[in-house]
Amino acid sequence: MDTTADTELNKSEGVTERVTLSKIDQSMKWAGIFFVASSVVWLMIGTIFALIASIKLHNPNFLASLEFFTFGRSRSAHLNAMIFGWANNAAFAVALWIMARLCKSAVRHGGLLLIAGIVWNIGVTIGVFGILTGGLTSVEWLEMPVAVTPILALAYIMIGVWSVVAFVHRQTGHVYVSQWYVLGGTFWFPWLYVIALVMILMVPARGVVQPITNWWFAHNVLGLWLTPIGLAAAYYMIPKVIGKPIYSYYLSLMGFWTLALFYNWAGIHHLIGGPIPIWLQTAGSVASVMMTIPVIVTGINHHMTAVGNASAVWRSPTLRFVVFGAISYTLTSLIGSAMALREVNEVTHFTHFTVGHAHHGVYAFFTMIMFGSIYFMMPRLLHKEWPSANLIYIHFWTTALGITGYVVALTIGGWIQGIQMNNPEIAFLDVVQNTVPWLTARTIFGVCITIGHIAFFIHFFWMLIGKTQPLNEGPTLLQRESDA
Amino acid sequence: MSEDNKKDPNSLGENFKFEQASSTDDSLQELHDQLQREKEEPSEGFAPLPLFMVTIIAALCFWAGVEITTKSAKFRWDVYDPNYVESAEPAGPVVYDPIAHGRRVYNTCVACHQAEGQGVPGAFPPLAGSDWVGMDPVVLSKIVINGLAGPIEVNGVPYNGIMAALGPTLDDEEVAAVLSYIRQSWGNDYGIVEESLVASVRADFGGRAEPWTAEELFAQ
Repeated sequence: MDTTADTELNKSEGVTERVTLSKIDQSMKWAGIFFVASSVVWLMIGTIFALIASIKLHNPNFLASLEFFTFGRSRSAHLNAMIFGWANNAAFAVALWIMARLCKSAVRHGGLLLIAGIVWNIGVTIGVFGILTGGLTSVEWLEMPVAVTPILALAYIMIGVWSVVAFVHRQTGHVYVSQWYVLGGTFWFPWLYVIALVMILMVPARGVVQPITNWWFAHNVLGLWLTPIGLAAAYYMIPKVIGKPIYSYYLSLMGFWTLALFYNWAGIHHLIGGPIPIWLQTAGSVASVMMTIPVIVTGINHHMTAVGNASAVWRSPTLRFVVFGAISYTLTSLIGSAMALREVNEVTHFTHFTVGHAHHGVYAFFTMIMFGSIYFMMPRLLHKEWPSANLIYIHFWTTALGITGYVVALTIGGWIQGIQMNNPEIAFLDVVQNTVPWLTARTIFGVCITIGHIAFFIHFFWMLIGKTQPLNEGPTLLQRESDA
Repeated sequence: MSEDNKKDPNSLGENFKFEQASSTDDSLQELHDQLQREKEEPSEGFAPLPLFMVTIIAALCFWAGVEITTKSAKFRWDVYDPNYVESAEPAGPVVYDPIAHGRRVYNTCVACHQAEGQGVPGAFPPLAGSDWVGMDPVVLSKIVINGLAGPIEVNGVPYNGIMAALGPTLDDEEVAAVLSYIRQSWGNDYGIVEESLVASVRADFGGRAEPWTAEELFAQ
């Protein structure tokens, strides 16, 4: 990629390390391809349901005669396809691969991992189908029919255990920050999922304990599963592509443990104003605000590593996406902390502001980092280059501009909606009517994102199925000039 | 694909030698490219925590402490109000209020006798201003416990309906409470009914299966 790599190559130690990495990549090859391919397919399915749900909000007659696509079903199908289909598959691929590489431990019995992955995807397929045919539960983030959830829980454990196995067999002394995050995430998610299932759907807890469990679960899927995996990938990709150590071990350490300490409490801010004990609401608000500590610390750590390497960031498809995601993480988390304050929450609660914020987190932060990581990982698994820089350009600009417009539109529209809903002088239907322009804008930005996803979908399968590109032309970058 | 597999550097097995005689120039070149594109695995520097961060953390901890002390209502499970202030004087023992209790029990009666006790003309007699409500509490307890059927006259207006027996549904305290509530609401002003009185009526007539008629009530 540049001249420093040549000097590195002269050190035999460096060569040995690279051969080891290459072997690890091969051990992960089929499982990795399977997870990424499934995630890309789910991304497209989720996008289609997203568009349907979005259009219905400003044009209720759209597909109104089809029972499968009523708003409740398409919206839930969108959410579940994206979280359990796209985000989890992408996270499995990236997290396990990073873990194996950092532990210098090849994936043993990769076939079992592949089978677990197939079981997971069968579970998600049945689940989404169940939602579309009306078998959905009324619990947000757990809409899938209860019968498929044990399959998912079991498949998750069969997949997650691979990160533990890699960690146990690690050949390295120092444990890098990405390893903590992956290990933490793979422990936290099954715990959250199983507890939520049992306490809400299987042996329902009584009364307000249910919503408390529900929001503890739903917010922690973001906070204790997607966030750690997203951060693990950012912590791996930024120093890896730039070729510079991460700024500070102490900041990494502090960021991880404060996240582990505070995030678990934060979900309760969804119930501010509800009939739950006031101390619990206050604890939720306080923990959400305390989340600024890991966010700022992580932000500094990433920024100080990337600073001065703007051209490298701009040239590498991986870093463009990952840095976009890392910046979004800082922004969305700070906005999230503000939203947990009671005074702000009184305006934003029950408005499209929250929807914008959710997409800011899951898309602008997590999904963009996963895109970047997939751009880095696939050439190493497939020994092929990405066929087209232009498709990467299209993918980056449509998704980056699309999600930015989306979040801005819903943030402004949602805030206005909240102010108007708090004003008893304004009739409720007028408030609803006033959101229509913002929701239309949302659909337009959604179409923009969809174009990017189609580009990515085509590009991915072109790379997977297409002929081998000559490797000696070097990686596909977004600017050809050398950064010397 | 078969051609790819042949030159795929993933055939680097356990016995891979970096300069194998059998390697072709092409495959060697490819391997080099693959290796060359990798930079070192990430590592960490050891820059200290910036001083301004220490200040931010201290400020946040202070704020969190204030927030939790002032807005947690001493961790009571039954306080939802953010502006809750615990009253300075202890509340003392809870005083039983039969009227308040009766207002809740009245939900059982409201479908027929209506929210303001006005009844439904021609179907259900009123309780507000009714000449029956001032009668002996024993009679009233009998009606609530065993029900009432057949022709009656309330404030000079004839009714001929049936009132279900509520003895199986309401306990003595509830019957006493709802009677007290009725006797002190909507302009009625009669004394409250004691639970012990209801208990004695139930002891005497609780086993009765059929509802009272007006004749039976007044014959006794």
